[in-house]
Amino acid sequence: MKYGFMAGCSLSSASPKNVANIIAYLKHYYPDLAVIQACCGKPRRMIGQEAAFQKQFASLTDMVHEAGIDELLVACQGCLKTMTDQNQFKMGSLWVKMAELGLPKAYLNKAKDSQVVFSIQDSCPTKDRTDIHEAVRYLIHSLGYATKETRLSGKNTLCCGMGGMCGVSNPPLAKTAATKRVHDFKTDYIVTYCASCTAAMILGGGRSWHLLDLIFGDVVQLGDTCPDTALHHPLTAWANRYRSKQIVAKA
Amino acid sequence: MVYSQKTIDMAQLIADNCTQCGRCMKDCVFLQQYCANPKELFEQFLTSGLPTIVPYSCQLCGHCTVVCPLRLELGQAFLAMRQDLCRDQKKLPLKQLRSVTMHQRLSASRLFSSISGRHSR
Repeated sequence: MKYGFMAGCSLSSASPKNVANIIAYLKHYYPDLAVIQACCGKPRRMIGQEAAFQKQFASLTDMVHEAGIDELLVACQGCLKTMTDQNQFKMGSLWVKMAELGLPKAYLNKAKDSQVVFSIQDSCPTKDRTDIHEAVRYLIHSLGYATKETRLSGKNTLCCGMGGMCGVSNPPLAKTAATKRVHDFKTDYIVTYCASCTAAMILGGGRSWHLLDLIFGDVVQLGDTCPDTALHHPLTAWANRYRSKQIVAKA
Repeated sequence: MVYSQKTIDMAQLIADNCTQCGRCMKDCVFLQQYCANPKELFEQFLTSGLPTIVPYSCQLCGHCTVVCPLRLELGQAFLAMRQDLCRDQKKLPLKQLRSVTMHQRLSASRLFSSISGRHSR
């Protein structure tokens, strides 16, 4: 079984470091891992350009076949949903795979002394994927963090505000949605497993971390504020994306 | 704008069947901003049409379908409207969507794409 990994556009633009971290983690288990940096084309589909989307997705499918990948592990739920709907190759959620493989020993229970209780912003494209919801919670709890659920989580999750290209078409409404989302949660600390969701929660006034920041970064303590996100700075985001590409090319 | 029959049928299904129960309205800021209930919104679409910004403001998250007793697919109807609005390939329905097409052109470019580990078989 040859595995491949694809981070997706938002994570590549938000954190080349975490792209590198994941590649190193997966290579430990799968030394012949193939890595792809590409776009699934979902934004084209979302704005209504279905033909242009199909063309972009076909190019991704070619890359997956060219790399000889049997199963592509994906960190982005937008990509995952798009790939599932297209059904052109086998794909899996990075989070489910990580829960299956387990976290490196050094990370287990590292946050056991932290008083932070995280709320989870579940990604809306995979609201029907209970396996992903469970895997994410398992990973957060393995780190030693406590979590608190809300009415609007799991299959009842709501969009962070950026879905359907609303962030571009109607930025004030996207901000209203993000702010509502932040207020829905019962705790001030929010963890997401989508880089776009993290950026949206910050836009909505929340303190938000990506799951990979919790896994590979410092332990979050009560009172900590979250780091800024590159996704709010287009030039930094594209520079990051280029750095991620270089990391992928050398992987 | 002449919408496709598929789009009109999807809108008609919602206008005809929505019971105005309000479950989808409870948490959706998009619906709250543009209507009192989906029945009213889709009736307006079928009679006088909707401003382009409306179908482009839905976040297509599908929460409305999850909570709808009839599983009405509002997001799919808005997406169908978007596809119709994009039929004229030369002109984007909203000028701000230019940043999406620019983003997609860059995303697909060699500058930001790569494959590694392909020859290890």
